[in-house]
Amino acid sequence: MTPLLFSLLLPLAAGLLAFLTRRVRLIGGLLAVACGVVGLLLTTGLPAAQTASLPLDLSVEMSAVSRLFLLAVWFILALFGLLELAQPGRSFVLPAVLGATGLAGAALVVQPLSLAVLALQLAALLMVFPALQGPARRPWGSLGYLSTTILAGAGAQLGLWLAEFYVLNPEPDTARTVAMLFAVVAALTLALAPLHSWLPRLADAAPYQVTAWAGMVGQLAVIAVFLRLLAAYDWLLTVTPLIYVFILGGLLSMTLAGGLALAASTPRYWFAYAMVYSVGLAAVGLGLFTLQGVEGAALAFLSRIVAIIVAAAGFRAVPQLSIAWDDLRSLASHRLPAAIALACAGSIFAGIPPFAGFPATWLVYRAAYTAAPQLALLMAPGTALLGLSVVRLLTTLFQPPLDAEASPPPRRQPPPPPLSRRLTLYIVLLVALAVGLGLFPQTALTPISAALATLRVLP
Amino acid sequence: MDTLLTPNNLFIAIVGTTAILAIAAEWRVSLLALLAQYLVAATLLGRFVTPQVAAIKVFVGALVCVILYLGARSAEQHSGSEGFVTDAARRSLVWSPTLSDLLLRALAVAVVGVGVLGTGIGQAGFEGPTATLAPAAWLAIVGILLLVLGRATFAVGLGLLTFQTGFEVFHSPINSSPLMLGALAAVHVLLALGVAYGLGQEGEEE
Repeated sequence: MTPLLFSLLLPLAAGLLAFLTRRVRLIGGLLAVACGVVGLLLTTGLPAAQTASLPLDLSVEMSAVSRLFLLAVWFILALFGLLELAQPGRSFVLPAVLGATGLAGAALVVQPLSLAVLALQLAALLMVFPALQGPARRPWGSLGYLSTTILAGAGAQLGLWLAEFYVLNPEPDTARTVAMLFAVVAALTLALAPLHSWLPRLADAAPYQVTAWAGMVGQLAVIAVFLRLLAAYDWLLTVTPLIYVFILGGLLSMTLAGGLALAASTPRYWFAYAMVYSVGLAAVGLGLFTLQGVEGAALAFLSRIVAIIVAAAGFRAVPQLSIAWDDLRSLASHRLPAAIALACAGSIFAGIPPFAGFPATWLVYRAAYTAAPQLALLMAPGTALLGLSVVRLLTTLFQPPLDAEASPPPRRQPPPPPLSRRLTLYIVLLVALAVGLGLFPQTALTPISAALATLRVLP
Repeated sequence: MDTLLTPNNLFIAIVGTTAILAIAAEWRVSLLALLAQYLVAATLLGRFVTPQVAAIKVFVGALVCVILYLGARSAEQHSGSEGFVTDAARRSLVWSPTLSDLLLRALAVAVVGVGVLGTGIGQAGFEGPTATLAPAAWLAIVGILLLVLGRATFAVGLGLLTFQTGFEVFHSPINSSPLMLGALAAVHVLLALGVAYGLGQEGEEE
């Protein structure tokens, strides 16, 4: 168990060091890559399931599923570090990402669950500081994230207390209240419609890395804690209709976010709504609660992680900080890697082959069709709307530049600095990963299926 | 002292401090009311939970108020520059006071009060094991009310801190393990730091 504890404590210590040396951002980037790689190596070497007691009534309990989640968290941390090495961001980004990722990793394995929830809440609170360093200097979006974190944390603790109370005194009303609380907390933290509004506001106000962290590590840890919760209180699946809330929320998120992405006034909003759509797709797969559905949900979430990090890299490569649609016009003509990254992210979100989103979308659709053909039909409008929004993005990115004589460029604007080679290389690697996952989904599905097979609550 | 610090009196004190938070427009007055709220909540926890929990509450409350004071004061005194977050705290105000706004805020607190006391929470009474239930519910509900009414960073922060205090008053009798208390105190301090940081920060080179 010592390697696991070491891998969990390492990012926290590295976060402190990165904070102290935040003016030298190279150190933070190197620390994040090192922590991610060390975490991956140590977690890979650990047995699939183990428990250990610690002082102060604390224990660590790792299952095959939480091990898989941990591996994903360390992988994301390494990708984050590489992104910051390729294109350094604001000074608080890396210290907060390191500390928050360490806390989110702890939330996956720590017992009791109330402490896991608190660890996740502390992680999200750490990310508020870089969120407030956003280019727009508008604190309102970041304060929405802060409020969501506080309200969701309290709701989850109240739900856990009531769940324990139900075990002692099984009353149907208590079970329904617990399910309602967990459904609201899950919808709020996963940004499922209609409780999604904090995510577009955060995306509008905060640096891309913060939105990316919230969508990748934050929401991944929320799903992991939720699965642990279902394993601990499996009566939630039989006594209450909790799991159907995911299907409803997922469907609503897909349709609403697809439409809003098509009408998005800025690329930042498009990014946020695409994230809401993709979490909706994963929620439908999770809500089906069949092996095929949960596998699809897991692959959808994995491809979503790749899409988010590719999009963050693409947006970082655009010279303007507050990007408007006009800033993306003809981007391919002068910043081809950035245009390819954004096009790749959009294609993953929309499930366009040969990118990673396609097998995930296919699996969730197949599971939905097997469960109820009407469900697959209900999912289709959202997918079509998001697909149209991606067509809009692609036409904006790849449209030919206007004739220079007909429309001379404004002379006062200095030419944008050239794209760094490191960022170009980073984007190429990520696009290769996205295509690789799309063409060979079995590489990711095999370990996912093996871990899910140990989940005893799954039929 | 015991006759003065009855659960009824402590509840009335909590109602008083939250009412001041809801209607005070000057941030210094709001901060004093917040400090008083922490002290009353700590007294309540000291009487009905454990003195250790009360001591942590006093310490955290004092720290939060110092953080917010320093943040609001530096924001107020800032000469202003490009990229500096401006909101009402810079003008010494939590919200822009008009008579109609003041009356509506007072009415909102009164309606919430009637709502809390008229439900099962109020009927549970203020004695015995449920003594902390009504104050906790009051704090949490008024906290959400302040959050909804808040139009500036400082006001939103006051609402969130009040809500979190209410949650802690409710949760501490259930689980007062050192780890939980420490983590909840860390949440409280990080929240205050986030609000203080949100009041304004200098521009930074990318």
